[in-house]
Amino acid sequence: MQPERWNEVEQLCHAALEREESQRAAFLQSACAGDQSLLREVQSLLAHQKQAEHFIETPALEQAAKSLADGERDSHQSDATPRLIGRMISHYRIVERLGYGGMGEVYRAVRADDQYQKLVALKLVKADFDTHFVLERFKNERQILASLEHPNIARLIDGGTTDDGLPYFVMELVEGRPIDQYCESHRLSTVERLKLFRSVCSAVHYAHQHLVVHRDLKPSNIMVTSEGVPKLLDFGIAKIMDAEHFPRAIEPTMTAMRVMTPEYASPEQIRGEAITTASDVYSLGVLLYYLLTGHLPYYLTTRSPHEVARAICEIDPEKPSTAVNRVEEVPGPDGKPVRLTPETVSSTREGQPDRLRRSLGGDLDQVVLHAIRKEKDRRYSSVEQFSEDIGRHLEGRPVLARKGTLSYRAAKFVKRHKAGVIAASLAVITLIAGMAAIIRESRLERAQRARAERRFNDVRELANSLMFDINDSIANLPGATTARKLLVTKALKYLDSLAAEATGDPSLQRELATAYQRVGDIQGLLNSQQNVGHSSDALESYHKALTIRETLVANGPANPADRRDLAFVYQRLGQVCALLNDFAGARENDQKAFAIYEALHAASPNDAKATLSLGSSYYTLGRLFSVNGEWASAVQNDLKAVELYEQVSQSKPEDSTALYALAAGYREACYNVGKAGDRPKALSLCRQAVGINEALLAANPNEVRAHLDLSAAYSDLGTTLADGGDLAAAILTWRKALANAESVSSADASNARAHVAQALAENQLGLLLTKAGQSGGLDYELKALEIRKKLFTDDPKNKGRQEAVALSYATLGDSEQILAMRPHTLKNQQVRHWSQARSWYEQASESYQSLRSGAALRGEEAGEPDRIAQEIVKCDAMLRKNHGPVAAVQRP
Amino acid sequence: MSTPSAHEVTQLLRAWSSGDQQALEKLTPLVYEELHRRARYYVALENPGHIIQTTALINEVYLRLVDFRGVTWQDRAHFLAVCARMMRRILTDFARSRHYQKRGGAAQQVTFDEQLVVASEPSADLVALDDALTGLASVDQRKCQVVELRFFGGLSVQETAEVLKVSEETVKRDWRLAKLWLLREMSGGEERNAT
Repeated sequence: MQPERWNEVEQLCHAALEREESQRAAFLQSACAGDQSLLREVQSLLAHQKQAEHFIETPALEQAAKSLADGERDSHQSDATPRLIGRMISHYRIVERLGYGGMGEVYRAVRADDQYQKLVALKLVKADFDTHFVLERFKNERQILASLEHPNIARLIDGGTTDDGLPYFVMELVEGRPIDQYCESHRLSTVERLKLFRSVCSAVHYAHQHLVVHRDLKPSNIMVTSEGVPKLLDFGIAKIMDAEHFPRAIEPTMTAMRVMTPEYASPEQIRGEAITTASDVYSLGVLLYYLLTGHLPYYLTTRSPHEVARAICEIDPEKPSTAVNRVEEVPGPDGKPVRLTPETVSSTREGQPDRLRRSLGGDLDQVVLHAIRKEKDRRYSSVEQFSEDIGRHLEGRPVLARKGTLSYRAAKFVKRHKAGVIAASLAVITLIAGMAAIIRESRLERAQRARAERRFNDVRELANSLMFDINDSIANLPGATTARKLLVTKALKYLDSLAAEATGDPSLQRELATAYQRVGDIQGLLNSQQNVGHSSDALESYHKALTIRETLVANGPANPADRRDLAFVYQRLGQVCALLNDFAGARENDQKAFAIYEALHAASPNDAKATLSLGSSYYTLGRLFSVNGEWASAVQNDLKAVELYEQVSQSKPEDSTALYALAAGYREACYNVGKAGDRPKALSLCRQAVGINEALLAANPNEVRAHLDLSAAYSDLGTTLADGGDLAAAILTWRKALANAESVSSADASNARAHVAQALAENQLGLLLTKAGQSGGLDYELKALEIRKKLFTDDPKNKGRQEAVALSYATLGDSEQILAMRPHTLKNQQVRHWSQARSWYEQASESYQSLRSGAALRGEEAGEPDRIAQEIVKCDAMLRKNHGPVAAVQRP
Repeated sequence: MSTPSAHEVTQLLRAWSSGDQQALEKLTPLVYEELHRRARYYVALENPGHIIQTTALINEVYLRLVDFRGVTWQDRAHFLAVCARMMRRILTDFARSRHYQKRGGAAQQVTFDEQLVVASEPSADLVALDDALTGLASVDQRKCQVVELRFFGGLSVQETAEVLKVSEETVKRDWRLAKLWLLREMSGGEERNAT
């Protein structure tokens, strides 16, 4: 037919089809205008219009499937089956065929021994598939199964070669249903599904520990028995990881046998890259997504190859709690389309769509998405970690998946904007590192390796997630102390259970020690900006860290990092000892720290970190001399500290750490110089400190530390001014000290350091006001007393707090005495003031007595109890002189 | 087993799409072998009567043979075209072999049940369809391609339009007419225009 002619026929056909059937004949008659051959041609085509409706509308393969399947079955039944059914292979009699795949067949068989009869599954290479390649794969699977013994993995029982020379193996017969169908038919709740899923994880993790990657995790390979025990099947394309095969980017066998279940395939599988344990994490993530929501992670409108591949590699999956809202049609288990709606997926899960959404929202959304990240180094680092995060969710503890969201986004941003080369090389490095770890550990004993891995992950999670990330991110925000108490309790419980077994692996021990230190910091150092205020608990945590660090240094004395870490623990211990008024213990620890820091600084004098550390050691020793009243030695140490801090802050002016330390050094020097009697020098040192702290606050107005350090600087300046007799300037300065402390304590009711500072400022301000003859002093002092009493109740072993209470009583006594002796005071008022004073002194005395029985008083305050005793005598004398007996004095 | 590298297949697709017919000759057996193996494997895995999605199968072949990262839209379109043609050949061959079996010596081994199954589900006679398609190609090459892509390749109207670089409306019109043409051809008794 000529193309023009054919074109004409075509146009007429379409035109006729657009018309009603009844009008077609007339239309064609007129359109063909007597050309009979044209008319016949068109009519012969249109004659098939009815048949055409259903003709070839179903794609050929789907249409032919049945007949193709029959063809396959014919060949099987005419060949293998009759030959094998009823036959014996070794001790096993073949009963029936259970299934067949590309190269193998699985039979139900019975072990027909003299002793017992047992049903098993027997897998055999298909007779016409015994190529070298297939035999290799078959042996591979047998070898893998032989190495795995786990309650959730179908067990290998036996193996051998048939009389025809074909390899076979015998497995535990798993009679059950695929996990997805099991969950549906048992209408398992979200929690029940999670628990079942964790059993699957334990099997996959176990396989990974034995260097086996499954590579084809999907519902049909996970059968659940009627007892509810999931069993992992089909290691047919599993892979043994070993150094020889790694890290080749693309492995020929891997590519040849690429998993043919695109829905569960990871991006790296789609791209034909190396498949690692991370790929199994991904597939498990998709499986969990499916079990929890009834949907796959990607909402696909077509199934074209590009679309599926693109979705897996590029599209961010919806949150599971959002996916349950989808309405979509999917092929059901029997091939018929099934319509999924929020109601249908909820009916077999939590009942109501709302309840299902609630059960998935938050934690589980993040956990599932974390497992199916596109970048494999951003997923859970192991199946166990994945499973444990689910465990955390089930126990109501915070999950890891939710912590890294911010840093993850940042990393993703960086990745987008840097050259692909960097990202690619990073990925490779991560891969190698991950594999190296697995291979290294494979040399360890099996049990020890499992333990080491578990511990390692536990410690890492704790140290990094709980202690560092959370703690650091809230460190400078007011109001976080309560949250920290919880953090500490939970962290300690873990650490103690881990510590018992953490031997033999230094990196593990380091992490553990660091974690203990962080816990100790949070437990009670006044120097840390927020603390829960439990000094003796802190001491205990630091001792645990110390024991570990000492062992590390003893085993590797040349490692400067370990030595610095050890010195750091000594220093922390010293600080807590000092807080608990154990100054001998404090000095002992601080001198140990000092010796290490001095040696490290001598070894690298330009190292800012080493310089700062040595400075802090001088500073601490200075304080210890100071509390003993050894002013000259204290000043000497303080000035050395200031010198070293100055060095660092000059070379690194942007480093606020050095500046904070420098100001603290000046404050300490100011105090000790003042005590040594050089008031002008003390004033100039104080003003240096105030200048630095004011600048730091201006630069960091929201930082708690900036407020509290400035408050401390004003306190020292106020003290020095008052000692010099400048009451007006001192009062002004103490008011500033109070304002800065209050700005923190009012924002965070549980910040102990802020309350200590506030009480100090109120107490001193009150005394100065009274001394200056102004009113309101007693009110400040009473407020200070209340705060100090509460602080002591919160931390009853803290001697400093007990002493502060005693000091408050004494100050109140002093103030009442000043009021009693004020000129023009009426006699009965004098009596009242003296008796009040006596009462306060008496309480001060009681406090000092209980303090004395516990531990030594600070050197500076050592004379205070005696002074109080004298004041009481003085009060009695005054009361006798003015009135008579004092017995009936009321306590305020 | 020697498997062509994904890179190799992609290169051949490129060469073919820039007019190198020899590339197609090299490509064909690779795709054919893979499709054939997958089709057999797929069918063997599934329960009889289970829907087999052609696109899913081609998906797998595509993912397996082609270097996904280096492939362009054009390469993909060509690949789908090749696959559709291969599927036509594979399925026709299957059908032919079954024809032979039914008529020939293997017939007595087909059980009664299976005969029932086959009889209750008359599928298009693929062998006749294949012959008719060859005839259609000589009259209208594009309509033949539309049938290959849609019926053998399992592509949607939209995907077919993309591959052939024509409008969806054109695909629909071609499809409608091709079916009429093929039915007439296969019904045999109808008058044919020999001009």
